[in-house]
Amino acid sequence: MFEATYPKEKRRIGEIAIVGPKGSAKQPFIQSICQDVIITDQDVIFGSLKVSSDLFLFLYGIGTNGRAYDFAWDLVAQKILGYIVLFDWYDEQSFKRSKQLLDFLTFRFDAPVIIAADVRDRPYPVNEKIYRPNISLTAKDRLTFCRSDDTKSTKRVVVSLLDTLIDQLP
Amino acid sequence: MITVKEPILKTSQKLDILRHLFSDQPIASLLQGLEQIEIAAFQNFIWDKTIEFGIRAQGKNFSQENILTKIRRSLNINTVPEQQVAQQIEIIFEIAKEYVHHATHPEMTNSTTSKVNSI
Repeated sequence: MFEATYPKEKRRIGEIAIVGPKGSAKQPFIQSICQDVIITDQDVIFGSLKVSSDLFLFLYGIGTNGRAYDFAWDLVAQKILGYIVLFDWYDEQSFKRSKQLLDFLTFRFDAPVIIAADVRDRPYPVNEKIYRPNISLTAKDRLTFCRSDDTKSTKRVVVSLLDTLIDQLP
Repeated sequence: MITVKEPILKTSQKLDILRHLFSDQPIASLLQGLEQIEIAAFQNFIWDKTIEFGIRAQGKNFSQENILTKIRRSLNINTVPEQQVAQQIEIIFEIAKEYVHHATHPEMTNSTTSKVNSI
């Protein structure tokens, strides 16, 4: 249906990887923002977001167990605009499982990384004055907070990534 | 062959610093076992974030000089030189916490206004 409505030759695509430990809220994040979502299993999710009649953002939800497989990420990196690393802010284990992959992505690739700390239905730990639109960790890597099932919130995360990408332009 | 040097502070370490800051935890445990060069990078990062959060919390009223004044007042001159950097980091970290707390709980600043304004 997607292919018939939007044939390949007419589409321009930007691709974003949403990564996080198994069990993190990649599925609600992608479902909150994308019009078409395909769920292969809990940790392989695809969503497409139509920006205009011929421009789409593809979001790939990729679950990890904390280990980084260089060859797979090298293949993925060739097409990716940027990465959103999603973890549960209030879950220490979720943060610990994200660390190794976070350091791997931020060091190995030039693409920007937005670390989206998900608070779900709990309070934000700090006022939005402190974290909006984001907090820079390096020239290309930023931290922000979000509610993974809230469309406005997840859109802000994607916009942060695109802004960071544009900021990197010479 | 091109060799790319790893950053002195990993992204996860910076994120850990901010997690401690936003959840009001002490910083001392993160400093343990660090090399001198890592401690210097640690200090630079905390300093940069303190300025950033000060500006975000206080806007036009923010003054970097106030931070320096507080550091000078809080430093213990009897501290051995090896521990002075760690002490400075802890002082700057507490200042950052005050900015974050001031922005997050403005209704509580009546009781702490003089403390915040003295930053």
